[in-house]
This record gives sequence, C-alpha cells and structure tokens, in this order.
Amino acid sequence: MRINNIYNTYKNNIDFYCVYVKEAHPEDNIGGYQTKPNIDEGIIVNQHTNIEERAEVAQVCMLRMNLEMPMVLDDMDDTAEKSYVAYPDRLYLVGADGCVAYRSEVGPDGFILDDWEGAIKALLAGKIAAE
Amino acid sequence: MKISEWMLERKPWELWNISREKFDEFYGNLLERQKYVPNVGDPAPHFEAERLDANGNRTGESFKFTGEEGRPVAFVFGSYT
Repeated sequence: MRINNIYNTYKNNIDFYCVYVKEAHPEDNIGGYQTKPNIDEGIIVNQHTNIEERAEVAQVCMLRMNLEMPMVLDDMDDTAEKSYVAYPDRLYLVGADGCVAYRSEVGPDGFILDDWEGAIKALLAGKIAAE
Repeated sequence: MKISEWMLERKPWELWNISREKFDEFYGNLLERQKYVPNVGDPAPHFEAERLDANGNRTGESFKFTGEEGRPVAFVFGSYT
C-alpha cells in the first residue's frame, strides 16, 4: 500500500505518525454524514463519545488497512484535529525546526500522497545538501 | 476557497443522503474553518495524544509533539470512515 511504502522508504530520516481523529462519516451523522461507499463496504461506525470508543475504531482501522506507521489518538476535545484543521483528513510535514514544511489541502480531494512524498523528498534533499 | 470540481462531480449530497442545502451548509462551515489552518512556515501546533502499539492496543503512554524533536515529523490525520 502506498502509504506504507512512503513510511518504509523514509522512516529512518523522518518520524511518522497517523493521528486518529473523529470520524469523517459516522453512521449517526454526528460531526459528518454517513456515505454510500462506506455502507457498501460495511464500514458502519458511530461517532466516538469517549476515548475507549475512539481507541477501538482506531485499532480496527489500523488492522484492516494494515497501517504500519505508529498511530496516536487525538483526545476527545479534538485538540490535534482543531489545531491542524485536519477534519476529515489531511497530510503534514514538519521540518526539524518545528515549522510546517508542507500541508495538503483538506481531504479527501486535497489528500494527495504524491505531493506529500514530493515534499518529504525535497526536505531530505535540502537537509543532505546543507550537511 | 470554494468547493472543488472534484467534490462537486461526486455529488456528495447524494452519497450522504442529505439535501443540497444541508450539504452547502455543512461544507460551507468546513471551508470557513480553513482560514485557521497552519500555513507553510508557521510553527507546527504542539499537542499530546495517546500512543497505540503496533497491534493497535492502547498503551496509556503519551506522545508529545513539542516541535523540538530535532528531526522532521510527518503526520497523517484521518479516521476509518
């Protein structure tokens, strides 16, 4: 899978984290609307009301999608999601200086793994050139 | 910023089984909050989040992103649905 390939290619030089945030398309339509493609695939999940529920769905997501990168759980105040304006999904790259080096447009249309990988490559090339 | 052609072509209101008006309201709010999104060059917001282990089990251990990791960090934000 593409996301695992990117992770495995660059993980020696970059830390990767999947930040599990609130559901984009929950069955109960809280915070987002259920969507037909998910129903067709049997992906039927209510919005999390506590961290245990969030953890449970995050685990299902990780295992069913075979995600290899480390995963962390956003808190129930959605702190990370809000600070990064990440809902429904979004990609970021932060430089060693702690500043945003790349951010995608909001997903799903903005969730472009090629662009993210391009930014990773450029950042690492610049780093190698500087050393 | 407006709704992309990509989105419009998919007619999300039909996939979501809601009225076009409801969709416009929902997506309008989503676009509205984009003005708060961190931009390239901005300090990346700090946060704490619980780590899951490699099997997706809870660890009770906190991941702290401080911006002082001294190496690049890549984030994928998302959910199962």
